Amino acid sequence: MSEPAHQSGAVSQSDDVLAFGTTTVAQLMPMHLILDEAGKIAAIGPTLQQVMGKDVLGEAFFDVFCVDRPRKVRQIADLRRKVGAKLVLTAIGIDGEQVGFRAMPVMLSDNSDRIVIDLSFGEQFAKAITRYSLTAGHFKPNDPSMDLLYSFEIQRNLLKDSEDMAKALKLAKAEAEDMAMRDSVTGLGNRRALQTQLKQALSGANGKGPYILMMVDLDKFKAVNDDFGHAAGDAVLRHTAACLSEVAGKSGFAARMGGDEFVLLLRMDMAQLDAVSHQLRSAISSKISIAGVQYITSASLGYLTFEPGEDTSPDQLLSHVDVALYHAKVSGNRVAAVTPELLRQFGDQRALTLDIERALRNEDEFLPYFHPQIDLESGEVIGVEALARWNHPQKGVISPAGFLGVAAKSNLLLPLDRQVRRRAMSQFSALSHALPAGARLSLNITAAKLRTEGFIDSLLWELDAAGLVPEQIKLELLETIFFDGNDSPFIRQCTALREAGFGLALDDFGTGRASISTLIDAPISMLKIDRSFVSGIDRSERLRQITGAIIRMAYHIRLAVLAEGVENAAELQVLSGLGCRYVQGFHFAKPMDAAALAEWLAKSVTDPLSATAASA
Amino acid sequence: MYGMVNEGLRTFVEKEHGPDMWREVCEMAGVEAATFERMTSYHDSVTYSLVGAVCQKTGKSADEVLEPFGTYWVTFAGASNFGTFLRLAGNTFVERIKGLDDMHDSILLSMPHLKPPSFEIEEVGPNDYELSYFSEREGLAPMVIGLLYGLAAETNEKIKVTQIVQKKTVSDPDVFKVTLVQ
Repeated sequence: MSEPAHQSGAVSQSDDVLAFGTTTVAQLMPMHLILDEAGKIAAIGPTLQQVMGKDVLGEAFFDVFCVDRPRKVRQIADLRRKVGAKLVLTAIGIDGEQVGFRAMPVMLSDNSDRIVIDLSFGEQFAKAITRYSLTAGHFKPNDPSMDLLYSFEIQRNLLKDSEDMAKALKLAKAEAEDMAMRDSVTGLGNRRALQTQLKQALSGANGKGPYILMMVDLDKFKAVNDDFGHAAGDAVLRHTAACLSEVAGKSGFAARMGGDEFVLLLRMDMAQLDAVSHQLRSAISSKISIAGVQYITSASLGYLTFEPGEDTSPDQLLSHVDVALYHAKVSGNRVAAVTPELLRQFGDQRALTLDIERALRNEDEFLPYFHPQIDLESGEVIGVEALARWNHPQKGVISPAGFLGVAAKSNLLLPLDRQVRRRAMSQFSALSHALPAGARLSLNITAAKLRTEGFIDSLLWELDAAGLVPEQIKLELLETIFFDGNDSPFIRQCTALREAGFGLALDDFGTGRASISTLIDAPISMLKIDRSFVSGIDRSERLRQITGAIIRMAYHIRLAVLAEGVENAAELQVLSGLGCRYVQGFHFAKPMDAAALAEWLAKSVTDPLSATAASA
Repeated sequence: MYGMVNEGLRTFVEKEHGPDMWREVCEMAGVEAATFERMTSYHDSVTYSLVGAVCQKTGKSADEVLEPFGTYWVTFAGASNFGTFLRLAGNTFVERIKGLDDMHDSILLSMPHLKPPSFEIEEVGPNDYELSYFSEREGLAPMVIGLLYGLAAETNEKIKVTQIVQKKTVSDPDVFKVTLVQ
């Protein structure tokens, strides 16, 4: 490879260089120095002169300039050894500040000890232009430095834009990360942040325990949202968050799990718990004013304690403390701790839920039992009420009290009810030949279900599939139903059902769940008097009077009356005397499966009144 | 230190020990960012903490980590646009060493916060050179040794490097004897 021209020292026609006039040299090298044999500055280019300001002619080069690199160049002899090399120089400029140069020394001619040094600003070019008010005229026209300056300025602007954008993105990233761990309504930590805190606490990363994990739920918070709007609800949540933050202090951690559910993680022992829970509940239930309206809310607390290193997980801790909170709410105590007994109950409930789910998948464990309803005048069976039973493979037949509550809590009531209803229809259809003409299958049904979109269509489809018609079905309406003018769509739906042939009965009449006012507009054809008005009627004059009044009132408004829970002949005799035409109860038969019902019907076909519970 | 150095360390650790090791290194060093922006200036302590954590995690000394990292750095930086600067300096090891300061000067134009090292090489005998390494930073001489071997490998030359002077003050150089092996 050939050596670069500036390093070779082979300048063509070297003698002619001496013939260059000062103007020529200045034009070629506006920032040059010529050093004489003694190393003193003999000439200086015009641009460099403007930068230096003072007159440096005659001064020793090393008195004016410092050679920073190479570092061992300290005298003129060193400089001569660096001919063709790059030097980094510094000097004091006209502004009194240090200025840096790049330079290259060359010998003025082969037979001279004089040195020419060509200087440039190097990487300081842009700064120097500004500092010394230089223009393009201060440089050779073919010097690309000015072009590069423009290019660098553009790049610098682009770089600055990129840096600004990077800063903005970093800020946005930090904010996004913060938001991902924070609840937007209250500013507390969220579920994710809580998980992290619990993991750290369990690992011992946050120091020694014990820890108290407290779950807080506002009482009747839904009513605040419903009655006063979500803005008020949010204000209550923020008030609660502030209370939790104060209790948490710097060492604790407060989070909102969602809805009106909060969690506190505190590092303290049980001795402090009472004071803390009292402080928290008092603070939450203090009066707050929102848009001029005073609110008072209250909270229930569930808590547990744990130590770092325990064999558990954040999810399990939260699940357990949730059990305590649930207990605090349902027991009315407002504060409850996790106990082994509580967890056992919860475990039992969970196991039962799983068992119900399994049974529903099997589709043959939940089945209908049938309870006959008798017409005292004709002595005929007018229908059978379908009641759910669970034919458990290990535990045998379980009555509704053993599973309906848990099924309802676990949202399993709907599929369970559907299974039982469909089987009841199918089995009733199969037994229809053994039943008197006009006998109906009674199905218990909630008003809410009747209002459910598509329920009627579904019911008609099920009937059709079972080979039944609406005239063979009586719907017994449960729960409180107010047939008033304000609920005309529901009344219209019930009227349409009755017109389609369905029988409608009002169940449990007299217990307070249904009332006389419900009868005004009710499109029903039968009242079912609750068993509490029947049981012991033969021994209570007062019951006799009330039940008699109900029966008379029902007949006046042309409603049939059926008395439930008739358990003996004495009760039957009184009811018959009061004019009650229809009865149902253990005196005649216990609820029974389809096979037993077929048998019972066969025996009682001539006189069902004689078929007592003993035969069932 | 510019993020490029930390990025170089990341890719070096991931290449040698896998991504899990790098995550553990960051965690041990208390460094949240697992990746770095090449053109952003980071505090030197970030790099020192990361190197310290690599040493702890791998059970190696700083010399044992830094020297191979120096060799790797030549490849890593050479694969970037900065590699062009290096190649423009010349085709031999010595030319490229001489070009390092120029390269850093050029980079300073765009990265003014850079505090680059400086290298001076002087021929002291046939195929023998003394290389002075100047830096405001402490403890990076082993990385320079690796870097020299890496540069020689780039130009298909063989060298032997021995540190002959350890700097005593910030302005002193670390001096290495470099012999071109024929």
